[in-house]
Amino acid sequence: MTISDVARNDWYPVAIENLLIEGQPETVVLMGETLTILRAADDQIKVTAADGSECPLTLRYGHVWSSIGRPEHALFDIPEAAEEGRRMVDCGPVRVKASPLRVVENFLDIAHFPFVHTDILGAEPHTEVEPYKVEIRDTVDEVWATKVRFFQPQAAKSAEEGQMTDYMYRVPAPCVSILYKTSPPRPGAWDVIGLFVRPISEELCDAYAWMALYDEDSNQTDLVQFQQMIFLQDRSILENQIPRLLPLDPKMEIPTRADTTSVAYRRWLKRKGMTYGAQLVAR
Amino acid sequence: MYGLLKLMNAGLTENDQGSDGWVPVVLSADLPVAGVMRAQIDATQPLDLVVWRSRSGQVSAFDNRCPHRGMRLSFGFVRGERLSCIYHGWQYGEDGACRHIPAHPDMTPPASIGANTYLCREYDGVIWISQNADNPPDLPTFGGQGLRSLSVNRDEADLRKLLAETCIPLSGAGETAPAEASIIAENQTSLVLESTTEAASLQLMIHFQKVTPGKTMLHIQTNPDLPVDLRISLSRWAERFRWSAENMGTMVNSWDASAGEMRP
Ligand code: FES
Ligand SMILES: [Fe+2]
Repeated sequence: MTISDVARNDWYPVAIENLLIEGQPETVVLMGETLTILRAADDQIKVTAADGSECPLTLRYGHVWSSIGRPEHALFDIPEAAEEGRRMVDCGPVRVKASPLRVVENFLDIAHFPFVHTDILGAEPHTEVEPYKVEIRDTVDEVWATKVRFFQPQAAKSAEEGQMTDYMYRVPAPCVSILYKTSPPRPGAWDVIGLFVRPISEELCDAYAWMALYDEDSNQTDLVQFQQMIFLQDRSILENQIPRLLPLDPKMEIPTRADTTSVAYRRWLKRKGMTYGAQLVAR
Repeated sequence: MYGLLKLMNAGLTENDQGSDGWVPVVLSADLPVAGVMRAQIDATQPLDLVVWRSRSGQVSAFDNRCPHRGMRLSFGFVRGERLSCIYHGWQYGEDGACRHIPAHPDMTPPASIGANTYLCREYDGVIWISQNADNPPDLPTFGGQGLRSLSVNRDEADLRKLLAETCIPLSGAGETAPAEASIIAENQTSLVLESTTEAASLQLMIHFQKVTPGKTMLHIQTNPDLPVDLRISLSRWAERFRWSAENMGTMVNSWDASAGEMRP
């Protein structure tokens, strides 16, 4: 299959930066192409394609980012990453047998919390999704969902009891989603959780979670384990959605008001021509 | 019983399983109240279905795909008379209509939202599925008791041939040698295997479900009120039958009961 330019010329996570050991190359597959990532003796990191050519490289948010094409833009910015007092935690990757776009869409969804993350991120009877605001911000070409509120029995590792939690979602690139949620120790501030997805094929991907939290107490292992447990619950859903590819034909699936973010995301993908991992017409 | 089978033939169409005919998908006893299972049927259009039983005992079958976001409904759970999808909890009634969307608890779901449904009937200890609304099943009563279901990696036609050559045990725990059996009645979905000696007589009714190409599910019933040890022997016989069918392609009828399972 031919991979559209929008998909080719974007940045994708290929490794966790501080897990790269000097002199030990790692290979990953990005949209069918094998890339080798090496930290050389001079501490320089390099990404090479199968034919030996050097690939674009950006080191940011704890990850090594690369491309099989020629990105015309810099990697998206997460301003919060530079804020003082935040702990950065990498907790990926998790392999998922699903379209990378399904993985991102699931990350944007709150209505599943009581059923998939029962008693952690949601619990019956608190299932209602109140109206929230979704927009495609044309100036930055991003999807944003704001004023999202949902009841959570245990919103984060540091949360002890149930509370209404505020969220914002941001999609700065087709395979990336960033979530902002009320920080339990600092109710006025946002915890930031990023989901960076590397498409291996249209129906297989590696998802890296990255967090920038105000949490001084929880230990690193617990934070990673909490995030992984949540994501493994999502994976059991993602690997059982039919079709595997994300349908962009509005007749294929039935959204309600709670799915406004998903509707905007799909529309945005279609408009961009991002069809890698998507199904355009119902088969 | 032969007469019954002929009658049973009359209730079925000449068409393939999964198109117009009735297809057996599970023994009643294996789908308890609030049970949810997946059933696949190999037909011109292969079917992937969810079959479930409500609290009151009603059975239903839908496409195994939630119309909301495509989640397999066979991962769902039963609440009262409804099947609930595991992803966002949308609830479907036995007619497939969506009755409740938890994200909007006060909204009545539009009538247009529903799962794709199939005819589903429970008859004489077996649950049957059909796609054709004009042709209700008209099956006679065998009055049998479910033994077990068994998935075998062979085509149905091969299995029917092999069953004609099989010997089945007539007593428990290898007390007597298995006796020759013959097919006394047969139709598109099922056959009856009978073995009679002076001491005993036994009937097995076997229903065939084409699952995927080369894979067949056998749903086996026996005549009622067999002693437990005979039921155990018959269940082992079924496993040996599967082993023979998958590995030998021919019936291996002799075995040493004391040697236990006949496996490679
Ligand atoms: S996919 Fe079934 S309720 Fe959302
Ligand atoms: Fe989730």
